[in-house]
Parts: sequence; structure tokens; C-alpha cells
Amino acid sequence: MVTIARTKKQRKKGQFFILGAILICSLFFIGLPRFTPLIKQPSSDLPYISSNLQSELPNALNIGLNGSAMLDTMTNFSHFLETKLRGRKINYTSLWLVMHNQSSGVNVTGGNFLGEEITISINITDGSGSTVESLIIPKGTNNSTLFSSVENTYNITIAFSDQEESESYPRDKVSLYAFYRLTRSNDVIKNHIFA
Amino acid sequence: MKGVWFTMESMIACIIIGMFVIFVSTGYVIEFQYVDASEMAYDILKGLEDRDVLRGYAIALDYEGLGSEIDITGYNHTVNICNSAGSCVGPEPDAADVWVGSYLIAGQSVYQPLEVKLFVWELS
Repeated sequence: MVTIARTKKQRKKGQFFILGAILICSLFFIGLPRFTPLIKQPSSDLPYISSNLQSELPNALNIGLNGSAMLDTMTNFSHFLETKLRGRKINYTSLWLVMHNQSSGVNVTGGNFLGEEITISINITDGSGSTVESLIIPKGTNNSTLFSSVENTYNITIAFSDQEESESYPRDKVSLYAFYRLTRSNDVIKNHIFA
Repeated sequence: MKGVWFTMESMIACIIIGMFVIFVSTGYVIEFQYVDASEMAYDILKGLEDRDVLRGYAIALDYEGLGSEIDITGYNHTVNICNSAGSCVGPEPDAADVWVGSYLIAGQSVYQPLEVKLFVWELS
């Protein structure tokens, strides 16, 4: 009898492992609500902030053009976005270029809010050929360059850092190219706007 | 024979713990619990902007008028309108577990940057 009882007791040992496993899992789930801040959650607001910027940056340009203060408006709005998004622990960096008709050419004015000096290669191609200009913009400032003779419709290629984008525009239209980056810890959204 | 049973039971225990670790490490548990109403708040503000309603109220700093345009089933809400200096008009939400969605605007006919915040919380 003693031998049989001991054998049954010994066979329980393995089952204690299973019970132990279930107990560990249960304790974790019971304690989980108390420690949720320690667990990383995905940043869900970056995509909709990006969507907001996609529509509002062209609006800012239009408001600036209406008030004949394009440069000031775009610069101030860039600072406004930096400040507001910093309040949500989002680092907002941006670069924008505004192309507008000047005599028979195209003036390209850029604002650099990427946090470092940037050299932009601008290639304008039309029916008569291609012209490349380099525009150097120190951080937090503006600069412009003039393409003196451009046909009514042109293709512009903008390259800087590891970015390169192209778009076609009519010369008489005031056009916007903007690049922005929204960063919160490891979450990053980069986007371009052509308008 | 006893050793075989112990080994099998230990393996079952290891499988349970292993599945649990995979379950947690994939983030499935967290996503399941994560309900974010801030995107819903943004979608509502974006909808008002698309209907040309948002900007007029925001420029006039009419948080009550803007709030009256919003009706969310199962949720209560309040609207704040904040300028570039950070000062806001509108009532503070009086609840726990409040979600906020916001919409940034540059102005209307003149440059007047504002942030429209929509606070939402579940009706208790």
C-alpha cells in the first residue's frame, strides 16, 4: 500500500509543471492592466496628422499668396507646426519649395526646416532642354534661385539628401513642393506634397 | 514508464509557456486591448473641414457652434480652439479616459494658425 501511494504522489510531479505554467500565464494577465504603460503601443496619431498636413500646407501657401506674404506665411506656419507637434512629442521637420512665374522664367524659393543646412539640386526640363541649379539653404532660413528662361510647361526634378521627386507644372501657376518628416521615437512618417 | 510521463507533462508545460511568450511578443494582446478614439475625433473634424464647416467656426473662436455640429453616439464631447501662443477657448473635459483628436489650420482668408481640439469620452 505504501509503495502504491508513493508512486501516485510521484506521478503528480509532472502535472505540477503544467499547473505552474498556467499559474504564470494567469498571473501575467491579472497584472497586465496595472502595467500597460510599460508596454509600447503603436503611435496611431502620426498618419492622421500627416493627412492634416497634406491638405493644410497648400492652404497656407494660398493664404500667403492672397496676402502677398508667401514667404512669411510659409515660414511662420512651419514654426507653428514645429511648436504644436513638439507638444505631442513629435519632431516635425520640413522643406518646402515654391515655384512661381518671373518674367519668362521660374523663380524657386525654398524654406529649410530640416534642422541642418541642405543643398538641393533642381533640374528644370522643358522643350528646349534642361537646366540644373543648386540651391543651398542654411537651416531655418530661406533662399531662392531663378531659372531665367522656361517654356509654358516644364518638368522639375528636386533632389536632396536621399530624396528625389519629379513633377510637371504650367509656368504661370504658383506651385508647391513640400517634404516633411514626423518622428516620435521609432515611429517615422515621411511624405511629399506636390500642389 | 514514469519517466516518460514526467517528460511528456514537462513538455506540455513548456509548450504552454512557449505559446504564451509568442502570443505576448507578437503584440496581439496589446492590440486587442487598444481602442483609440483620437482617430475618430480627427475623422469628425476632417469631415467638418471637408463640408467647409470647421474653418469658419474656428476663425470665429466659436467652440460652442462647432461643438453643436458634432454628435457622436455613445460619447460625450467638448471642443477647444487654441492659437499659436497656446491659449485656448472652450471648456475642459470633465471626465476620465478622455481622447483628443486635433486639426491644424493655417487660417482662412488671412493667416491665423489655430489648433482645433475635439475631446471625446464614453458616456457612463
